[in-house]
Amino acid sequence: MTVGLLLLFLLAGLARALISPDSEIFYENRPARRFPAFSAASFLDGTWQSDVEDALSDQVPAAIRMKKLYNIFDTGTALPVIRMLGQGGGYVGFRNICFFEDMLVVRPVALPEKEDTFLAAARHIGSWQDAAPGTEFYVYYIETDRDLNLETGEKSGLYDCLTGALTLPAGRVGRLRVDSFADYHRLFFKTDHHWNADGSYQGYLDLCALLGITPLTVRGQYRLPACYHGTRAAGVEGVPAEDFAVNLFDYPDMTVTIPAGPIPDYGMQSLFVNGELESVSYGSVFGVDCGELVFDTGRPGKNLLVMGDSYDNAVVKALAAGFSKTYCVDLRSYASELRRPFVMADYLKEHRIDCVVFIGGVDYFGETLLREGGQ
Amino acid sequence: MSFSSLSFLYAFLPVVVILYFLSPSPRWRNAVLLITSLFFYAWGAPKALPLLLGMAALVWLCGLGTEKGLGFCHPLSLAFVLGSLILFKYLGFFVGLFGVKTLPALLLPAGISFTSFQLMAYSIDLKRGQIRAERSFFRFLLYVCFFPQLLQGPILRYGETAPMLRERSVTLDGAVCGLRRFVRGLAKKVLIADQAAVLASTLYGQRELSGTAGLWLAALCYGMQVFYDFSGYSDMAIGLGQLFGFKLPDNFDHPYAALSVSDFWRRWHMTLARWFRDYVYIPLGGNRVGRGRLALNLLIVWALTGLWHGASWNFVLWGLYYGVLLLIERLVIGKGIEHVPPLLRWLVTFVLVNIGWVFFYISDPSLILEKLLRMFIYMPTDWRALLTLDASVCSKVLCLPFALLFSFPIVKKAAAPEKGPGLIVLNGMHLVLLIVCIMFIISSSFTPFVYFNF
Repeated sequence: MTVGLLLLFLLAGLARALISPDSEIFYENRPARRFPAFSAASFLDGTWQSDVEDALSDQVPAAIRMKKLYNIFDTGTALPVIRMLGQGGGYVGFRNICFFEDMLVVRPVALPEKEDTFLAAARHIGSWQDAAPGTEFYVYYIETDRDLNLETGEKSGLYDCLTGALTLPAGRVGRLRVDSFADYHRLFFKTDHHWNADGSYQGYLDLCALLGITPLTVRGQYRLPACYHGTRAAGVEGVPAEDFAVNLFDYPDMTVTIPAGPIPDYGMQSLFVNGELESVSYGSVFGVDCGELVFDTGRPGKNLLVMGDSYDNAVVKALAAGFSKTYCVDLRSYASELRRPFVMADYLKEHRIDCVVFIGGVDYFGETLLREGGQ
Repeated sequence: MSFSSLSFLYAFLPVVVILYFLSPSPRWRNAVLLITSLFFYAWGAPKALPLLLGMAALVWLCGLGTEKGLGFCHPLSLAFVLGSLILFKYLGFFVGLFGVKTLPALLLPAGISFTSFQLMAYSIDLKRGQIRAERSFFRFLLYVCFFPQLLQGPILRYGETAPMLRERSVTLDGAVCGLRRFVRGLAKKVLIADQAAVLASTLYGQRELSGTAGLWLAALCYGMQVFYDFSGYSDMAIGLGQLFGFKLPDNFDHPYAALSVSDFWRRWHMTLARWFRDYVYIPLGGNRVGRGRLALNLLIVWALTGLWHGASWNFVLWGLYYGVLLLIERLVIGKGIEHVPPLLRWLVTFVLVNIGWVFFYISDPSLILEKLLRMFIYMPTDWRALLTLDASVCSKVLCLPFALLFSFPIVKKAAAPEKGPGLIVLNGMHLVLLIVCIMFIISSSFTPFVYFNF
C-alpha cells in the first residue's frame, strides 16, 4: 500500500510533466522549461540530462506551490535579519539581489569589469558610423543602480568611459542621469530593474531632444496602486507590491509589425488603463521583447532604427510618433527570430534608415551589443 | 545520476521498482537491475561507461584465469585496475611532482575510486582463495555496477555479495523499510548537508571577514556537510539495496559521537577503513611489528587513505594528520585514554576531527596554514558584513541544531513499530519528509554529492 502510493505519487508527477506541461511560470515571470528533444550528442555531453532535470523542476505537480512555500520559509527567516541590518542604511544581500531601504537593487559594477567591453562597443558604433556617413548615429545611456553606489553616491564612471571612446559628433550622446539614491528611487521600479513611468518619460524627453523631434503631449499618468511585483521580487516573499503607472499619450495611428506579422498594438497599455489586464508586468503593459519591431505612421519623414533591449519597450511607441517608420532591433533575439544575422550596413540600406539610436545600460553596452553578433 | 535529483525520484526509481517487482524470476530481476544500473551510470557519465565495462570484463576474465592457475592473471588484473585509477585520477598529480604543469585533461569517471577498490578486492580475495571466481559475467557486472552503490559505495566484498546475487528474498516489509531509510538519507543530504554547504562556503569564501569564530564555525559546518552528505548517500544506497532484497554493509555509525580518533575511524566510512586494513595494513605487517615499523605502516596507510580521497596534497596532508593522531593515541597515550572523562574525550576528538576538515576543504597548503593560524590566534569575525553579503544564509543556520542532534545515536534507540497505527504514522511521516525534500530540491540549486569527486 505504502510502496504503491509512493510510486503512484512519483509517476503521476512524471506523467503530468510529460503530458501536460506548463508554458509559463507566472510566479517567476519567465517561460517554463520543457522536456528537451533527445539527441545522441546532447546525451553524450550531458546537456540533455541537465535540461530534463530543469524541465522536471518546473513541470512536476505543485512545483510552483512548493517553490512558493520554500520561499516563504527562506525569506521569512531572513527578513527580520534584513530589516535589522538595513536599519543603518546600506545594501543587504539576499541571493542574487540586495535590499536597499524599500527597494530591491543590485550592487554597482566596477569600471574595470566592463571597461574593455565598453571600449569595444564604442569602437563598434564608430565603425558603423564610418561605414554609413549619411546616417546619424546617437547613443542614449541609461544609468541604473549598477552605475552608482547607492550607499556612498560614488559613480562607476562607465558612462564617461563610453562617451570618452565614442567618436560621434557633439550633441549625439545623452544619458538618463542617476546621481543619487533619490534619483534612482524616483526613476525606477522598487522591485524591477526597469525604469518606471517617470524614468521612461524622462528618457523619452531626453531622446526627443537628442533626436530633434517634438515630444507628444502627456495627458497625465494612470497609476494602479500595489499591483506589481517586478522580476527582482521573483521568489522573494514578503515584499509588498508596488504601484504601476503609465503615461497617457495620444498616440497617432500606426501599424505595428513583428517577425510573425502585423499585430493590432504593441503592448497592452489601453487594457491596463481600462483595468482589463489580468497580470501586470513590464512586458505585458509596454510590450514583450522581440527581435524586430516595426512601427509605421504612414507619414512622410525620417526613418529611425532603435537598437536596444527591454528598456526601450516603454518608449518606442512614443518615439515612433515622430518618424515615418521606426524599426526596433533587439540583438538578443534578432538572429534566432529572423533566422539571419544582423548586418548593420545591409539593414540601414534596406530600410533607408536616417537615424540610429542605441538605447541601453550596462548590460547593453557591456555585453549585448558585442556578444549577440551585430555586424 | 544523483539520488537527490528529480530525474531519479520521479522517473528512474519508480520505473526500476515497477520493472523489478513485475519480473517473473530472479534471473529477470538481475537483468532489470543490471540494465538499469548501466543506464544509471550512463546518465551521469556516458563517455566513461566503456571504461567501466572494460575494467569489469578484464577483471572477470583474469579471475577465471587466476582460478585455473594462470599466474599472470592476478598481476594483470591489479595492474589494469590500478593503472586505470592512476591514469584517470592521479596522473596529473604525479607528473606535477616532476614539474610538468600541463597535461591534456582526462575524463574522471564518476565513482572510479569505489569501483576500482571493489574490483581489486575481488581479485585479491580470489588469489587468496577466499572466494570462488564468478562464472557468469552478467552477475559479476551486476556486483560491480549495482546502481545503489556504484558511485559512492559502500565498497562491497564479492564474498558477501555473491549469495545475494544468486538468491535473495524480497519482502514488502523489507521494501518499505528500505524506502524509509532511503527517505531519511535523502533528508540528510537535502535538508542538512546542502544547507550546511552554503554556510561553509560563505564562511570560507570571505577571507577578510571570517576570523577565529567564523573559521571554527566553517569547519563545523563543512564537517556536518561531509558527514550528512556521505552518510545520507550511504543510507539511500542501503535503503535501495534493501528495497531490492540486498543487505549492504553499513558505512557510518555516529562518528561524531566517537571518544577517540581511532574510535572515529571505526565509525566513519567503515567499508573503506576495512578495505585498507585488509588489503594494505595487514599485508604490511599490521600490529605485529616493532614500534618504528608500526609507525611507518600507519603513515603509509593514512597517506594512501588521504590520496584515495583526491589527487591533491591537501588530501595527503589530511590522511597524514590522522596517521599522526592515531600514532600518538596508540604509541604515546595508549590505555591512558580510558582514564580521561568521556565528555572530555569526546570534546577533544570532536575538535580534532573538525580541524581535520580544514585540510579536506582547502586545496592550497599555504591557505590551510593561514586558516589554522586564524583558528588559533584570535581574530574578530565581521558577522554583520557576512550577513549583509547574503542574508539568505539565515535559513541555512536552522539545519545546525538538527545536524548536531542527529549526530548522536538518540533516534536509533527508538524501535520502529512493525504494524498498526504506529506504522501508518511512521510511513506518513516519511512521506511528508519526502515531499519536504522534493520542495527543497525544486527550490534550491542542485548540489552534487561531495564523494562523487572521489
